[in-house]
Amino acid sequence: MKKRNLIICISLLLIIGIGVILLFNLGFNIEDINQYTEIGRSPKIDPDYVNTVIPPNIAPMNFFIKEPGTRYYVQISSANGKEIKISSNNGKIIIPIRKWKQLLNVNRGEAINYVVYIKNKGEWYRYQTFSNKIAKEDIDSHLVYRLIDPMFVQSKIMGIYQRNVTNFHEEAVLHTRAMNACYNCHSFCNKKPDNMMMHIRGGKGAGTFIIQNGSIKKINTTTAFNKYPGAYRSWHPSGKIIAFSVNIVRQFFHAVGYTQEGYDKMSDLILYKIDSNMVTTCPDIASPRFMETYPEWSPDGRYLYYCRAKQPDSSSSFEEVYDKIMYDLMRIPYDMETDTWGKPEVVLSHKRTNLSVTQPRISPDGKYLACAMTRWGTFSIHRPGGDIYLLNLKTGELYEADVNSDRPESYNSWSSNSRWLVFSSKMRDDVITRPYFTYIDENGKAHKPFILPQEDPTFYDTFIITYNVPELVDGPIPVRGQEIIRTALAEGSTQKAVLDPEIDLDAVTSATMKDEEGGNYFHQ
Amino acid sequence: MDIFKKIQSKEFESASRSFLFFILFYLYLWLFVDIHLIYHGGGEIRYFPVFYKDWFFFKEFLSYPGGLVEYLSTFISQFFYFSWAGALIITLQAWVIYAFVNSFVKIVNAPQLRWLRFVPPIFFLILYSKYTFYFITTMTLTVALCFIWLYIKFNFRKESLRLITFFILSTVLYALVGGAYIIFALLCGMYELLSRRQWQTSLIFLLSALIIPYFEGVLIYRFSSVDAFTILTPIFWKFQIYNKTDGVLFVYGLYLFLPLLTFALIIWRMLGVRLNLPKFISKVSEISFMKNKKIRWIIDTGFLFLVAAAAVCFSFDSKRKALFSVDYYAFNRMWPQVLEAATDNPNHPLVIAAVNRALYHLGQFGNTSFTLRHNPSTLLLVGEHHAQLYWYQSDIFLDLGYVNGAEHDVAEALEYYGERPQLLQRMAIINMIKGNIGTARIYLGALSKILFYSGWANMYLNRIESDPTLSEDRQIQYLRSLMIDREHLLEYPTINAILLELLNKNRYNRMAFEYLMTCYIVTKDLDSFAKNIDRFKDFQYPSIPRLFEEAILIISSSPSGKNLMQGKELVISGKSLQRYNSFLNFLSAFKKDKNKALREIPDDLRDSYFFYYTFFGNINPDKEK
Repeated sequence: MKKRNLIICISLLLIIGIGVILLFNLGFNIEDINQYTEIGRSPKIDPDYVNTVIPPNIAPMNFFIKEPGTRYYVQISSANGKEIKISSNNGKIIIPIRKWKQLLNVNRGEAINYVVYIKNKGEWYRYQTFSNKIAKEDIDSHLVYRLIDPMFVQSKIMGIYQRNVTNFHEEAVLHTRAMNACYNCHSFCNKKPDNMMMHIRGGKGAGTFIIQNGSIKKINTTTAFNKYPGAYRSWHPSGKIIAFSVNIVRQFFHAVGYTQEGYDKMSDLILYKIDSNMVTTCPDIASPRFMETYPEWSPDGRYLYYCRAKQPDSSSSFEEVYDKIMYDLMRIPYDMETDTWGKPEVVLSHKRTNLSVTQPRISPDGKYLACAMTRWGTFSIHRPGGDIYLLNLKTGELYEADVNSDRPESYNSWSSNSRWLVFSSKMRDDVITRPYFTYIDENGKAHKPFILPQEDPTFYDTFIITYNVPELVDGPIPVRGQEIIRTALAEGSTQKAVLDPEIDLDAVTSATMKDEEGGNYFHQ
Repeated sequence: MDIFKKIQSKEFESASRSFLFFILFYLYLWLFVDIHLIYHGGGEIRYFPVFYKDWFFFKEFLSYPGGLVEYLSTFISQFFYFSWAGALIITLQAWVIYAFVNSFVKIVNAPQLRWLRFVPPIFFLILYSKYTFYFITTMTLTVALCFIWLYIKFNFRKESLRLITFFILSTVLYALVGGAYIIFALLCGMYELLSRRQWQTSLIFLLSALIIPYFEGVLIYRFSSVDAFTILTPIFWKFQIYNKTDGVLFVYGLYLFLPLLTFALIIWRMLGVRLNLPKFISKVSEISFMKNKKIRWIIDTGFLFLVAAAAVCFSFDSKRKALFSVDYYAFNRMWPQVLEAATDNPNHPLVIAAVNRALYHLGQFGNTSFTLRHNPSTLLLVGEHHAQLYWYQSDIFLDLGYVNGAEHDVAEALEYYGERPQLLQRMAIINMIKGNIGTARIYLGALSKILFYSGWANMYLNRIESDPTLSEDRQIQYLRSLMIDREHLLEYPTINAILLELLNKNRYNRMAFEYLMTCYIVTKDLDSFAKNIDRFKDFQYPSIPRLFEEAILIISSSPSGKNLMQGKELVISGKSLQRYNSFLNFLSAFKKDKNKALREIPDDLRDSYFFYYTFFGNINPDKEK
């Protein structure tokens, strides 16, 4: 008897619960708005998802209406498909993912329109419709980034995360919670997640990790030539070589304005040949007279692009020279078959622009090179005036991408179809870096950027962690962080790279570099 | 009659003793240890957990074993903000473990060992007397013990049912507490052996201590095997790195106490040894007056309290308490209390720095010789770049208006201490001063989700909304007026250069002025002191601070100093003149024997700058850098 009563009670509760949920879903999403007053402007929304171009496979771009009101009602529609209706009491517009996906998918190339109604003091107001354009081309499904405290020196808590940008699923690939170390410089060959590399610094697990087709190799890239391991990196499109810079990085701080700053004290480039586990270089990319950094292979693998600045005179004090270090964009031909180098040439001189070039990234179709340009050095994220520029590689035309704010913009990464560019920016505030996306059309025009959508539209108002090194990649990383950690910690798992016996140590910088003071890797 | 019987009963004796013990336990933690000092952290406790009222924050805890209990502990530990609540939480936690030990020894048929139930609470007393924070790891242990109790209470006779129950509880428990699950598996295994003599079941349970963490931790949660077994236990890397105190030994003690005790019981039983109370206790109980229950109660209770008191006496760290108190009061700008708390640890550089700030804010900075006794580098804490210094240095820099210096410090401190609300609050203030309202809003937004700080954060969020430049905020405006605008790199300037730069920006920066003049007199750089004497006019001193007057008198007494002082209109008090004459007279009496003079100088002159200038060597603050 008692059991039966219990079952009845539970069933009743379930029915009531389902009823309440249904009422909420139905009732809250349908508003009966017969009378309203027109407002002759669009509503203020945050994030600013207005008049931009969006990928047809992007996660719902939820937003917060920054207008006073007691009730909010939004209609989202396009040329085809079913209109989406959303109601809210607090101004947070959370778009149902399935309806959003359906709407975007059937409206590629069309506009998507938003009509916003707000009830304030008992009256309904209708704001001017605003729109976005749905691009025809998808964006790569995943964004891999590092989350780290802003203004760090020696960060203790960090993680490399992958976020599925077509929904809100975020996953920690590696986190200091799982193994205490510094994780950085994740990179992918040809935007494919199954060819990945990254570094782990500090502790027993330290090394460079190359992940190819599910197998993980741990490499120690230091040799007699380079006391320091490879840092910034670029995969050769063949997947057989990785170009690294070898840097001595220092960090310092300003008493006025932006506090944090960094600079390379010395740097060179090396190539790591995966199959032969060999490090090689040539005097032109490891010259004692220059600092070479930020390698980037052309998509055909025939050129290595990089940034180069004159090595400051060792007798001058750092304070005198740090803001005079200007990087040019260079390239050098390389023939992988014969392992021969051509002569380096200046692609973009700082004398032409009065700006230092940093972080060059070439679109996979080989048409454009995106880079950050800044007043000096390579750390464009640490000072205003760091902006994203595009270089048309066919015409040599350099122009500022229409994505820049008066705050720093920096690291960038292309999508595999060359239509989307993700870049780091502090445009929301002065300290914390966020990832922004922009659509680059066939003519190389960058459209208004938008921030990585979050399930909670007010997420960025309180999230004090920086997004670092955003990399677009065509799918999730196939190996688990646990497997990387296992390799990192396994006894005897490290392969020590061998130095190309043909390297003439006297002709290159790093023979002296190895006598420099102890390493100082801060989280680049 | 019943009540009388109850009073007479052993149970009541025991309960009343325990009740009294826990009442005193609570009062000690609340009123003496002052648990809110641990919440504040004193620049000593790293990664005291921050709790955000936020779904995203909660989601993070779901991604690893132990996350849920860590989330719960993080929430509960926020109440350490109030000493009374924090003490209550710890008392309850200690009581739960006490109660578990009490029933466990009964269940395994070893009631003679009930007196051991007070051991864990005494370990708690030691831990908190040392001002350490291991709440999360002790909480995981507490939850694990509760699960053992559950397992025992189910008490299924059928072995298969016991196995099913064990594995269900195991799966849930590992997800809840992480590594502390091992204690559950070990104790359940040993319990099976002790109470049922089920070797096979026992072995399965013991083996599950390896299998479950591997299966769940390594294969499901994707943790390294070391972390899968240790997560949230005292040997977890996070606690090893962040909580490096000798208190950890007592956390090991808490963890190992029951497994070792149970293991010892098994060995005893295997060897057929009868478990008796120690002989001397049996003999003592045979003494005639010990048969009187009241006297026995008093003696037993007294003995217990004696042990607890001894543990507290040996472990209580008064210097650490002073450091924590000074930091707490300085943070809350309770300057008289800073001076009072500092007396228990006056030579700690961080305490000295806080006392200097307190003296400045109380208008006493140039009137006491406190600073003269210490190296001037403690003024700005510009010595060794140790992360702990940043916590304190940021406030000094902020008071001075050296805002980027403070920002750098807080950023470093955030790395070292984690997202402490105090640091987020400072970061918000710094960004408001710098006019980075967007950034300030984010820090305020984060703070608005933290218990007890949301009021402050929301107040500023509203203020920013109505006055985005904060032109009405006098404190922000004042600090903006102090902020330097001439660029230099933070690594390079000397203490004097920083203070001079601040005075160049705002000549009315009294703190910079007093700190600068103090630097000069401590380093006996009286030429530089004399060059800045005109600045006294910029401040409305009712009279020049005593030490500065004394320095002026010394300068004026030398021929070169007289030149320097020419044309400076400064009124020196008669009292200082009189002291100076007394000092000169005293010195002339010991002209040839400086050592004797040093020994015999009267106390009232020991406090003077004359004394310091005459008897102590030169110190260069910038060499200290």
